[in-house]
Amino acid sequence: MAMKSFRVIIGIEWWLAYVLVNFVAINLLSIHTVSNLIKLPSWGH
Amino acid sequence: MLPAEIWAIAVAGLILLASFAFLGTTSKALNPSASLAERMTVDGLTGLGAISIGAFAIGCFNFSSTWLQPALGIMALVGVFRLRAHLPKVWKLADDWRLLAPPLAIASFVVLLLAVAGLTEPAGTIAHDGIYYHLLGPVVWVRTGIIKPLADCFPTAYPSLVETLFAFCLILKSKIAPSLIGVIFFVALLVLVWSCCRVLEAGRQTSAWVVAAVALAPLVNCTVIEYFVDVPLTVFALAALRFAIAGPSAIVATAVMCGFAMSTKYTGSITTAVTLISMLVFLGKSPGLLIGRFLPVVCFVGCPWYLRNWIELGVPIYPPPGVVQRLFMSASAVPAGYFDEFFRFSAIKGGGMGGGFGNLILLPYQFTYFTDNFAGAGGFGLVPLAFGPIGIWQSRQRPEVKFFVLWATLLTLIWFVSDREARYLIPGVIVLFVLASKGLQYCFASVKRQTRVLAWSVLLIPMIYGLAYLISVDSPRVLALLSAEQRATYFEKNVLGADLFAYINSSDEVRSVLVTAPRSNSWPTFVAYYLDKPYVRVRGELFGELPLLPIRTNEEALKHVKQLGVTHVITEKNLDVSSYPLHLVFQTPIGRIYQVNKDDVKVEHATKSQLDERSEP
Repeated sequence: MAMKSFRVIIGIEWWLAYVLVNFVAINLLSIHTVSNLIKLPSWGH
Repeated sequence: MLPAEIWAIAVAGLILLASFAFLGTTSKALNPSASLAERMTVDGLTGLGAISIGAFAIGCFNFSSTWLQPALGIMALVGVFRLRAHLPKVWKLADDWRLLAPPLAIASFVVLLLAVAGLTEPAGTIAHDGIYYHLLGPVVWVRTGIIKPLADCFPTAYPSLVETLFAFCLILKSKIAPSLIGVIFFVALLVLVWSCCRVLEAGRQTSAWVVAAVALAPLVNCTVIEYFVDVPLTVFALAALRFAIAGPSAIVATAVMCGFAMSTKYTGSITTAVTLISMLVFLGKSPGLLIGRFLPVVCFVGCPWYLRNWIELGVPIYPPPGVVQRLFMSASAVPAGYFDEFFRFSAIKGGGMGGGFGNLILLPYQFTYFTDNFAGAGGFGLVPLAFGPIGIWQSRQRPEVKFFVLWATLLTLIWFVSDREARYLIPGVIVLFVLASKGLQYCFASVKRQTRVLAWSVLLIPMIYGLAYLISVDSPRVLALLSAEQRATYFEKNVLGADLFAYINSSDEVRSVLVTAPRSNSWPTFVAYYLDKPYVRVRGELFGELPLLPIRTNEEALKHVKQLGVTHVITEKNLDVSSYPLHLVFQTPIGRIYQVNKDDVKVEHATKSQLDERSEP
């Protein structure tokens, strides 16, 4: 039940994918401006 | 393998065995379901803490091998005797060992790699805190036969439970063993992570994968063999949490571990305060019990270093923050602004990505992906960020989870408003790993294939990154073990002025040394750890200590060099020997060594090549 609520707020797959894509972009591909890609303030590196 | 490495393993083993003399003490407070590994770990930690505090209490008056070696030997014998009863159970394999084998093999590989890399002798510049002060204190304590803060190095006044263990290694003639002490604490951390995950009812396989993820987190493993005390602090803090959730009967054991945390690092006082508040709020511990039993034990176990500082330096926390200084020290005790450089240095290192509400909200993202900006190169993977929220949400009704969440939140807030250096938040990160175990378990058990694939990817990709990072960091140390040539290259690269130290340490003429201050903070400087002879420094290189007051400058010190009682001077400058009673005896491109003139000695100059020629048969 608890996890159903979690899924309503944010899909787990989407959340995990978001976390992973950020990691790959920032750490492995060194795209430090990933924040610009997702239209968020620049958080720098 | 060389005898020095074998001896280091023997010394670390002896200290570990001595800690096992405390088997069957604090572990009695754990629930009956606690595993043997957990019990041995908490008892071993109790032993390490108790031995260190006991040695410190006596070592403030007399820290010598005369009593330390026999005492350690006797304790190790008791440890062997007590361990004998446990050994048959240690080797019993779990029923599901095949499932656990991959993650435990990864964790074991990391431990083994660190242990092998740790068999090199310490080597690093002034930028290496572990060598600059965590090891410098023990070296001087052993040389002088007394545990005492060094006037030329503020950080040697820090609580030093772990450094006292390093000093044991030095008394037992091993410079290498301190890194193995770090490995022992690292193994204890992994066992406690497993233990806490299991308390939250995470599955055995999930818990094992969380242990592997912690082992491969660069933020954690990169400090293990570098003589830092962040992992030991985390171990004691986590052991305190483990006891706190074990029930009311474990309150004294909780306090003992909190006391050890306070004895390891000043920030242990913060973890202790946070543990106390969290216990009051979520674990239903009565204030009477906490005041009557918890606080007295914490004070008794944690106070020795603070008490020593108060008696010797006039203030329990040294160097004192402004408020503490005003409370305890008279205005004339030290020159005005004496500690400014120290706190300025800390503020620069602890700047992170800035304060303010916006950065606090963004902290989980920034700290996970840009850990390097918090002086934590390599990061710690994605497990806390990815699975932490899921695990907390799933188990939010459990009092242990509420306790962990409050503990980690309070610690993070205090860290955020004080010193935002990544390694100071390792205890909070580890608790998030533990909370994430429930989230990881949920994703592993999902009926949807894409959830399981994503979960494994989020777990494994950063682990591969962590493995590559670990190998790149530690391979030079492993290579240095393989040949004399590699070892020479490694030391030449990492020890500034190795030739100069070799000259001083091997020359019978050198009895004590004056180390001059570098001309500026950006100038390379000599690390006193490498000196085997007594020394005095004009000024502390990093924090501006003035141990020879009223002497403040190199010029003043050189003019009074005979009164300082030194026989030699080590400096990076070319000194005008006509102005001082000195003559050059050794030089390299990095620096020079001058000998103080004796009245009847003929002044003699020599270059490194001349000395090399002279030393040839």
